[in-house]
Amino acid sequence: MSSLRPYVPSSAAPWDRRRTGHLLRRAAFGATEAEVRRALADGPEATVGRLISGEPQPAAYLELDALFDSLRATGSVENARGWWVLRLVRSAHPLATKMTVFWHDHFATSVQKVDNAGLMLKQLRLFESHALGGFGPLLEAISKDPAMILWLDTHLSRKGAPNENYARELFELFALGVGHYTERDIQEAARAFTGWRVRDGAAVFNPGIFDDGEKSVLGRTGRFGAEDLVRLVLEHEACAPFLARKLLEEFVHPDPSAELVAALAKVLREADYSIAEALRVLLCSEAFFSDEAYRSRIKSPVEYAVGAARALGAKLHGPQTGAALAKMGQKLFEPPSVKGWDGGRNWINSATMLARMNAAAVLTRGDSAGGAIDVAGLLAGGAIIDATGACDFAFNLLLDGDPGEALARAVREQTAGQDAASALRTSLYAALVSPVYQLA
Amino acid sequence: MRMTRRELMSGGLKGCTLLASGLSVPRFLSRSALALDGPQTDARILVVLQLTGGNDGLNTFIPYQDDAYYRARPVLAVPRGQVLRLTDDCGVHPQMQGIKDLFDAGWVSVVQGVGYPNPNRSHFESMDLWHTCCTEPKARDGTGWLGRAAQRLGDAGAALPAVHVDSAEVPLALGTSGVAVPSLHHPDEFRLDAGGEGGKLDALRAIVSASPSRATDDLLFVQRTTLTACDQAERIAQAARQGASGASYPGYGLGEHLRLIANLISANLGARIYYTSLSGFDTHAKQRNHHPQLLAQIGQSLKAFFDDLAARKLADRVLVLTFSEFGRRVHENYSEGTDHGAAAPMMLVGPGVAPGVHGAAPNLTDLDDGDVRMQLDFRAVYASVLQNWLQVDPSAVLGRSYPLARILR
Repeated sequence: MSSLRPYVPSSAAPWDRRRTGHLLRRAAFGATEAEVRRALADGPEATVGRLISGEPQPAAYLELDALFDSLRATGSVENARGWWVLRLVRSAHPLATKMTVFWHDHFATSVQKVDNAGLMLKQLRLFESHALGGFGPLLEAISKDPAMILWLDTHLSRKGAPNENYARELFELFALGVGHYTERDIQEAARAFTGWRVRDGAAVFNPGIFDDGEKSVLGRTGRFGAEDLVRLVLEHEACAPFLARKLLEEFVHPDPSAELVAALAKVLREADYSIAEALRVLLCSEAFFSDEAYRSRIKSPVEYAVGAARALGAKLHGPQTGAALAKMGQKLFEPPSVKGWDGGRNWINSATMLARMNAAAVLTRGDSAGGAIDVAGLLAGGAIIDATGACDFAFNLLLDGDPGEALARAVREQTAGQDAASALRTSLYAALVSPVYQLA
Repeated sequence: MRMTRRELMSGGLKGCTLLASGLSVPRFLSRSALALDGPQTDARILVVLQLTGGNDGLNTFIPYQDDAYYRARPVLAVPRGQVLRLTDDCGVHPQMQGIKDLFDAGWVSVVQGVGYPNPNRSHFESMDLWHTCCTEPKARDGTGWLGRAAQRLGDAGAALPAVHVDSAEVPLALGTSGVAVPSLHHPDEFRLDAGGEGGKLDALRAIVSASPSRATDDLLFVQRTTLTACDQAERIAQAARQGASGASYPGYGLGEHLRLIANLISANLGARIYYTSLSGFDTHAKQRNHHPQLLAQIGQSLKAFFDDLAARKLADRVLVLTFSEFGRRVHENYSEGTDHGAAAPMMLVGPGVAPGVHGAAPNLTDLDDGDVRMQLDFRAVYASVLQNWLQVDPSAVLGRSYPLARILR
């Protein structure tokens, strides 16, 4: 795998549909034909810059903001799930919304135990506000997040009776990874997280139950509290490589090289753990645009469904899409464990593939309450007048213009003789269920 | 038996590149399989029940004569008078009357102190070890012990006689080096809505089986799994309908999963390994609010499962194995819960077990960093089940040989 040096388009590695498709898929779920053309015209650096900073939110997104309070009042996790899905589809800052899913998977908290949709939404808002910010402030905020406090038993922990749950997962899953701490470190760190309670939906610090004694954690000794622990973790040599690997797995390749991990860890440390800065370097790099990275990840259900909806400008029904995602194996707000979703090949089994195929059928049928494409709009926008044009449109938009000879032949055979609208439905469905589309 | 070209072609795969790319559909699930030669109808079946989160073994199989147990757990200990007694020193939680009944019938084997050397108290590290049986994380290859066993039980490269019946993720234990093990949790959701104007299954197959321009391992994996799903959707729904009985199960998810497994067994689906799970065992706090309820689900669901199987004269063919990634700390914590522990009992259920409680009661005064010490490596239990129940060479599946535990008849 190549390096973090900036990618420069060349005749061997041109800035073409394949590379724009790759960038817009990984960093923005997917893109409309107009967005692809804009990226082709602007070049990689400007496109990455726009992905990082985002664009003004459209009315359809601001509408969701206005709904937030009444949504929270319903207390319904189905509604919350649907609201989140619609944010993912409508946002003009798709990289930031993609990071909210990344952080949800990273700090995997489940409503099953938290048992409060409002607190899950509050945690989602926290991920939104820190999506591309510094990892340090995020780590400190999540340590005091009410849903997290309830999820990992911090609210039951007090001086003289520390609960190890949060400290263990902070080290193992959130910041360092196994092998960089001892059971003793966990026991001592647990004392530093005492004193927190949840009251009226907010985290409250009660000094009376905080253990303010001396603790020895990760080779340092002091009268540590929660903020100190976050600082110790960030200063630990394992933290930057741990986070770098996770970002690389998400954006570049499921098994990044040690050199790449070390290089991105260095970027993170030098940028004070700024996620935006790390992603800017990453998304502009040779490694990102390398052949090894291309279609090397299996899409998560969210990437699959949200990507299809964004590319096709489809209207979705939020809660129904949330339920469809659950059938594909990703029930938002309910990760299978504190480790999050395992991802990769674990996304793929016969039941989840049936769910993906069924969702593609619903989306391309065009008359469903669960969500549908606007066939007439797509035909007009793409100036599609016949079956050939419909197939070309589907291949270009969803398969980077490279469906492979066999797939192209099969789809052209099936659409031969169909009118433009039918051929568009058939070819879009074919692209969405094709094996290659399951890869990001 | 390998699939012949004729079978493939008659399965509606005309004109596609299946054969060229070496793809095949598990025979036991393919549409023509039953008509050609049905699966062995007397084959033994293993059902694995995973208790996710680290089940508290001491409050499941209770050392009710041991004062050290009552000293360590002033809040959580089950009072001696409430324990359902199995032997002179081991009883079962009062919420598990179903297990007590099965034990009295001679259908339960409790194996004490099962674990592994150098216990790891991370859920995920420990669960991975139970799934892969491979101590060295770097040596793990994505396959699990049951996936490897299934590959040996099935036809080379084709049939995978294992089915995951759960809404949870497919566990690493079922990982194979070939096609993914089928996974479903409700037959109604296991259906295909073939879209597009073509709308037909054959059209869909032609799309999915088209040779990609750049074939990576992941791509071929997705392709094989998708094709398998297209065929299974019909076959499994049919089997679930065929095998449906009016048996009564408790209304839990676990009960429904076991009901579906019983139906699939009854319909001769041909799978030899079924896998399901129950989660919620990570009882760090307020354990009394959750743990007895989980144990009740296990007891009632397993009792209903074996009642159903017995009524259909299928019980003799079925063995259930339960395990968890670890037990819990002997001493309760300050949150009225228990933290991650080490060794714990395993339970096997079915007419084929050597009934009774095997191994010594846990020694609660000689602990390993606060946890019960192991008496028996879990891989010895697996080895016995592989050798004596599934009749698969255990050393080939586990990577080395283990002394067989005498837990089956």
